[in-house]
Amino acid sequence: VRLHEWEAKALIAQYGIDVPRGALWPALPAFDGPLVAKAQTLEGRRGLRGGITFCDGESVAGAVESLLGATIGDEIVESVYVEERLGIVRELYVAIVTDRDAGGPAFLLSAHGGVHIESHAGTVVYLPLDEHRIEPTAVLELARRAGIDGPIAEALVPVAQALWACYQGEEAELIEINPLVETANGRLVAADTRVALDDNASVRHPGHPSGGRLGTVFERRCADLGAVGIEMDGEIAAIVSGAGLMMATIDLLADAGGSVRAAVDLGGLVLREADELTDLIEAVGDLRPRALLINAFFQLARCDVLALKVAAGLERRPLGIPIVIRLRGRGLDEARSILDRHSVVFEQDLQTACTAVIAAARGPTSGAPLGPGLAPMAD
Amino acid sequence: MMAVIIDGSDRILIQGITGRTGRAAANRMAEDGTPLVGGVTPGRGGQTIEGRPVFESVDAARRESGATASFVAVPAMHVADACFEAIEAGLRTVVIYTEHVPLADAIAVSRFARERGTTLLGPNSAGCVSPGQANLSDLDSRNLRRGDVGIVSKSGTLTYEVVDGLVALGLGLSSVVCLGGDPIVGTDHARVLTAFERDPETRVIVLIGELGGRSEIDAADVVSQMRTPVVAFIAGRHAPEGKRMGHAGAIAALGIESALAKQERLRAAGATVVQRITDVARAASDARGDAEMPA
Repeated sequence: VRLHEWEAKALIAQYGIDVPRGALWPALPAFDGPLVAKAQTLEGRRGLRGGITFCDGESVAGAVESLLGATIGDEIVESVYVEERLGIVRELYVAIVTDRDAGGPAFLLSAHGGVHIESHAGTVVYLPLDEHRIEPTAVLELARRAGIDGPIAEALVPVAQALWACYQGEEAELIEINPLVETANGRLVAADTRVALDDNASVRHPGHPSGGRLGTVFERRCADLGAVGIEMDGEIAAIVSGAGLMMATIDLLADAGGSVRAAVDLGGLVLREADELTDLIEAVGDLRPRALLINAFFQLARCDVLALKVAAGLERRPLGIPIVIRLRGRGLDEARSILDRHSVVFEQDLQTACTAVIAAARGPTSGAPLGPGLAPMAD
Repeated sequence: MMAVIIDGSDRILIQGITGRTGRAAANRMAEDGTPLVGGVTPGRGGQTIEGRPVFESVDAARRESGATASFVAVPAMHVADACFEAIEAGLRTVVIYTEHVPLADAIAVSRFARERGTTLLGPNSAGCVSPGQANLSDLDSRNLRRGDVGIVSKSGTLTYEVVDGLVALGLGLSSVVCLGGDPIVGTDHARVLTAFERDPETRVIVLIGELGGRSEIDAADVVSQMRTPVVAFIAGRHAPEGKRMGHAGAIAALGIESALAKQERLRAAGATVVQRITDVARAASDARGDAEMPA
């Protein structure tokens, strides 16, 4: 889960990190001076896309109105955060990321924070972290390597320690403060913050803010159902029994001249015999693909369990498109008879199945209009 | 005993044997002759599943049954406790089959396993199997044959595809090792390649990877030092940029972690890089044939 800026700031403030005075519109911060109105989107690079407006007490309402409902990237702005505008001496970058290749978290620091951090990637210095507290000497040494010294280097020590406590305490995957602003009076203030929390740990943190998920409506819907959906702009939808096979199936289809509208990784849903499988058919149908490929290779899970869920989905929401099914594993014969009356094409071989679904997507039925009013089957 | 990670001297436990997944795994292992010696479910000690005893703790299971390896199929929030217990009890090999394990738990368990010298596969791993010896995986033994092809893979489902293709060609497997698709896992490709290189039973290795992370890039450095031929497949060439591709570890990325860049590194290191998953078995068969010829 990705937190909105206002949620992220409230979270890090609990750990003692200084944040600007701010409030979620229509509330206003108790502050008389220059303000900034910030669209609460989840994607980064908001500042470069017109999502941040300078204003004051008089112009804030107009600034907020022009942001609300605006489209920034894939997102529509639904809320605006208003906060005090900081007097900036210098912008730093600090973060704790989960570094998969080092097998754990790491603290990152750069003296060149701000919107152009990506072009200053070479200035970022790195401190791997273990379960212990961050030693002040380690932060000072890291600051020196980043070209930061004096009182600001010392002020970084409590910031780094608070970030680390927050990362561990909240089970974050990422906490990034960019920029961390040095103000005229020598404070370090988190002017913008990105926080991603570990979904898999959410039951241990019932008090967490709700945040939001990145991705399209379809992708968020799949995530809510416990699967992973990928939306693309082609013609074929592929529902696949694992992540690696899903990627390889996209590659096979693309190499053979097909194009993919959507791909879904079922993960462990079939093993759990989950009803969400049925809902996935509907989610896929809403994308109006021209053909559907179901590709599953099971070991412990069973083909007939998948077939029952797919059949239930097709009964509730007939797709009206060609369906090619390639199933391997136990319960294959039962699966065939379950799906018999849904006029699907069964294939054993993966390559053949891909060729068949590409041909079907281009075939005679593919030209038929599939409007939103597609009638349910009359049975 | 030949093979890597697991062999005929191992004695297997299932942690979470009384759950749905644990029972399904126990049922298959009991049928196929895997040396399954029991399971662990706290509070259910004294019961039997598939004729095997359920123990209260891994330590009790190890003392009474001689267990050396564990297949962890407990719910995600209990995985850390189960693994700490297994590593503490001194098991050689632990497979975390469960998906959706919290990242902090994966990090802590991986570190503890490294400290204690336990081989950890996963989280979200299909496990490992040395056909005819022991099967600590979810692969159905009826579809396996003992032989001389080794597989090391991030993905369970792609492993099934390749195994299926190899067996159809009349080839068999020395060992199959699935690392798991999560961003933080206990073991990387390079370590398993090194083990295969030392295994006299393995004549050719299939490496299956995907975009994201450095595991396949580090593996390329090992490949360049190996005598055993390596056939490599990397999934995700056509993955859209910036999307998470099912495996939590596979974020479509440009740069050195893209599928194309990984293919290039492996090719430069001397691996045979195959574009289609459906062609991997044939390429492994060819590489094996080449390896048989005198130098």
